[in-house]
Amino acid sequence: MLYDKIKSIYPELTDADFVGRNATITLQNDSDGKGDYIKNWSHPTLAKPTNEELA
Amino acid sequence: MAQTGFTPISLYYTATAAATPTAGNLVAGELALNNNDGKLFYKDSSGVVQTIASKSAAALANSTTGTGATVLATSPTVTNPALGGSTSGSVTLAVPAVAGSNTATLPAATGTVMVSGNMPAFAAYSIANQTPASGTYTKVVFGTEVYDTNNNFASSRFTPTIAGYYQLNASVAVSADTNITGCAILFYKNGSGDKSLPSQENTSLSGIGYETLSASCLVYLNGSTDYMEVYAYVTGIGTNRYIFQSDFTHQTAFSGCMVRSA
Repeated sequence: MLYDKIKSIYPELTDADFVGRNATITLQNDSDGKGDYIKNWSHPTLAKPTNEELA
Repeated sequence: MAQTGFTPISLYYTATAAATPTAGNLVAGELALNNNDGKLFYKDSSGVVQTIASKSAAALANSTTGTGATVLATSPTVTNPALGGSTSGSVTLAVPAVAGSNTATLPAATGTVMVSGNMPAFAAYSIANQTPASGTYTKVVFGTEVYDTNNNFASSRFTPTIAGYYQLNASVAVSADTNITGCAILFYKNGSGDKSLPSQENTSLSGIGYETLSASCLVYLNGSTDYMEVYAYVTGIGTNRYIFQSDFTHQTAFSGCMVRSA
């Protein structure tokens, strides 16, 4: 799961970083068989993981 | 030109455009013809010359019945009619009351008259559980249609082909293994959330294993490219999260209809 991979890279992230009014990271799944993906990443201090990190 | 060997019978006529017979030109029972205008005349019992036929499709013979109104004959066939007269007020179309009231009143406003044939409506519900990843906005799948009057609902997406304002309603039942810690339902317009569309989010849940969220919205859709979907997320304690299929108490459903034209 993409969520779990990102959490393993940045253990300091919490659910509030992903959902809710203060979320800065948006993960999305369009139920089209293509799986989860990063819709938006605007975290103020943590860099968006690379594809290699997420592989 | 008369056929050879026969004597033609000709009405009193004129070939002068716009010429009409006077009362003095006609006797009771006599017909007169203007073969330039294509009109046929007679003199009524009051001695007034009347037009009883015209080649002009727009010139309908008026009935003498009714009060202050032009009453058409029973079951008239009118092609491309144009209503003339006053440019203010309203036009009222009335039919004989055969069973209760059947009057349609058109206001003095520009717009499109909406009837069931051009007001799409749909309803669908989920028939399979989904297991979204935590904290991930996931498109809700509504696998069974209840009705889809204009064939505008497909792949859990509503794409109306008639521009207008649509009322949409959705509910999603979610759960986590032990406790839900957060969940939400959102309408997506054209693939993204829209700040003008109502949603529901709960992020302070404790000790709750199940939750049903619902939202409704009024949204303008352009009738060609605009489409609407429902997304949801759920976070919770445990490894599994669910968006439930509809059952007796956990409805995951999506419905809507046009409420007015563009």
